[in-house]
Amino acid sequence: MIRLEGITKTYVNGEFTTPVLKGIDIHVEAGQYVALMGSSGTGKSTLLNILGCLDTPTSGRYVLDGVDVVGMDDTERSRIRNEKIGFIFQQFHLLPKADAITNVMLPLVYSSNYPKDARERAKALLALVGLHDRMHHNPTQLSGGQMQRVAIARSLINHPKILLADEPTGNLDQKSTDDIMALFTRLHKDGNTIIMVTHDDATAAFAQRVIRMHDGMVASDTVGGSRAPDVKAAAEPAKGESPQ
Amino acid sequence: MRLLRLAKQGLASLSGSPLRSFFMMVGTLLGIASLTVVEAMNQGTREMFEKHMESFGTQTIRVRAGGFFRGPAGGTTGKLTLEDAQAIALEVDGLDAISPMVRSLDWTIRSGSTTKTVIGFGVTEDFINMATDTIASGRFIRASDNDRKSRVVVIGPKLQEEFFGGEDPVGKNLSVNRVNFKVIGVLGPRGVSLRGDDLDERILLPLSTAMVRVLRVDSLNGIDILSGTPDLMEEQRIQMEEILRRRHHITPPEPDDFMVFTAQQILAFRAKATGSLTLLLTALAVLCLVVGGVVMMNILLVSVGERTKEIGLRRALGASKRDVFVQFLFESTVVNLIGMALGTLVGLAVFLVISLVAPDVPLAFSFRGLLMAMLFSTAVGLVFGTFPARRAAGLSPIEALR
Repeated sequence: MIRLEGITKTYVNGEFTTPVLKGIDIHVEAGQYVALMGSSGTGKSTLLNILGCLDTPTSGRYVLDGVDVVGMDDTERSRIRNEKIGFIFQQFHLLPKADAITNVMLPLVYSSNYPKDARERAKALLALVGLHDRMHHNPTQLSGGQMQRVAIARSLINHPKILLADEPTGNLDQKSTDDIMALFTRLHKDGNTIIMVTHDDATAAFAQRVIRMHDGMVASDTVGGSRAPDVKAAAEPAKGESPQ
Repeated sequence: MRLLRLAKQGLASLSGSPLRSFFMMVGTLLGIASLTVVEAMNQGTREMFEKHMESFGTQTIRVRAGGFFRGPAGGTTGKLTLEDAQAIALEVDGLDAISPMVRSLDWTIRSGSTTKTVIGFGVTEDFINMATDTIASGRFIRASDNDRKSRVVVIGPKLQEEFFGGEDPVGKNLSVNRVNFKVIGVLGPRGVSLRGDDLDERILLPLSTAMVRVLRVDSLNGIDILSGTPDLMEEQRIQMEEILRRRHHITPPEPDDFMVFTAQQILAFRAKATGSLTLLLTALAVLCLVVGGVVMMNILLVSVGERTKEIGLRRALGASKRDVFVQFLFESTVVNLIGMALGTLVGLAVFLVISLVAPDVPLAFSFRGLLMAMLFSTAVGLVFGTFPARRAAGLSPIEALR
């Protein structure tokens, strides 16, 4: 599903060059639930931005769902974001003046083939996250946990290949955190591929696989408590894999 | 379809912040409103000139005593005489009528207890042939009146109203500068001249009576000539200048002590004067539109700053730079269009109010002006909308979401 090979990212500011990622090799299978950990400044946000096609690596190869996304132009990358990636943010990032269902349908504005059943799909997703009775509430009328659930429904509207969550419970109380984690577990069981950035061990424990970063490199990579197989040894077919 | 969805996003954002949208359109609104009014004034003045041109007489050539550089006649050389008029009549071909006249601005007329100071002319029977005036009742001055220096007077319709209560004044007495006159006719209505004189308050006396009995002068103020041959008017005018220079012993470059001009020349001169005024007003209205554009641009730039997170979110969800650009440009265009529509309505309202409160102000609705204003403000909207839209599109989604 995801193959990163030798990804580096270096920021150049005048005479100073700051290497943030120093060669990342990660291979994520379809349907995996990955926690990406590391203290701040280790490059996990930069890595997430590259995974989300919001940023481009300085060097290296990134194959997402069989497509090499490095070297794509803005329009192509925007389309990848729209069709293959579902974003979930720490700050939820809902449109404050739009109701829940409008927020859920927002990605479809930029979809190249707008589905006829958009509204039904959005309703079904709101039901999935337990908010079928809050469809026409604005974000200001929702709690933090509810807002994040609207955001999760939004991330699913275009049937993405991967879900990228950036500290999804970072702004939530314990009860809401538990709800959201239960929802993630369910989405994982339904076959979704999830990559979640977190700095909380308890949250990371929900994931199948934990990748720890340190100083722009992968420090450890454990699946169910044991080391992940070497990326380079795992021959991944370029096309034709299915997330289900 | 995608464009339609983007447009919908733009509309939602505009209606979500009505106050901001309103301030964005204020400049356009006021600019278009003032352009509408200015253009109406422009058009009204033009139509007024055309009307006056007709009443001046499109085939009239006017000779006036006193040169442009010499001031009014008064010296021995500056006099325009009846002999000058006769020379013109003899030497210039193709003229229909020649009307010599004296003029005074303050003739005091009295009848009973009513007294008034009016403009008056001493004219010959040819005056009525100039085809600018008509007789409403009674008769006009005849050659015999001039021969006998008769004390007869033709009055304007407003004087009939004021001095005789609207009754037929023919045969009644009227004192002019304390000399007793008999009213023989009433002129048809003409309105106000370009100069602002009320032509319906004039009196006309026989030329000889005016010169000898009332004013006691031996020279004319002017000669009006009706050219029966419009194609030759300019040649005739030049010919008259030459005759008068010869008779007045003027050799160019000595300045003339008279002026010869036609309606076209006066109107061209006046059009130039009012033209620069309307040009100034138009420039101000256009300036208002440009300032409106700058204001709109500033509000848009602030709004891009405020909406950074929203833009970042849209980018993350799949909006390309182009999508963001299109949405912002759409927003500024819609604001501009609404401002234009409201501005037109406000302009028309002002137009109506002016024509009700001050019917004297020449106003005429100009569709061409409206169209031009709309085109111009659309251009302003696009130009000043592009920069903020580009800035919005150029935001880095990573920075924006932080």
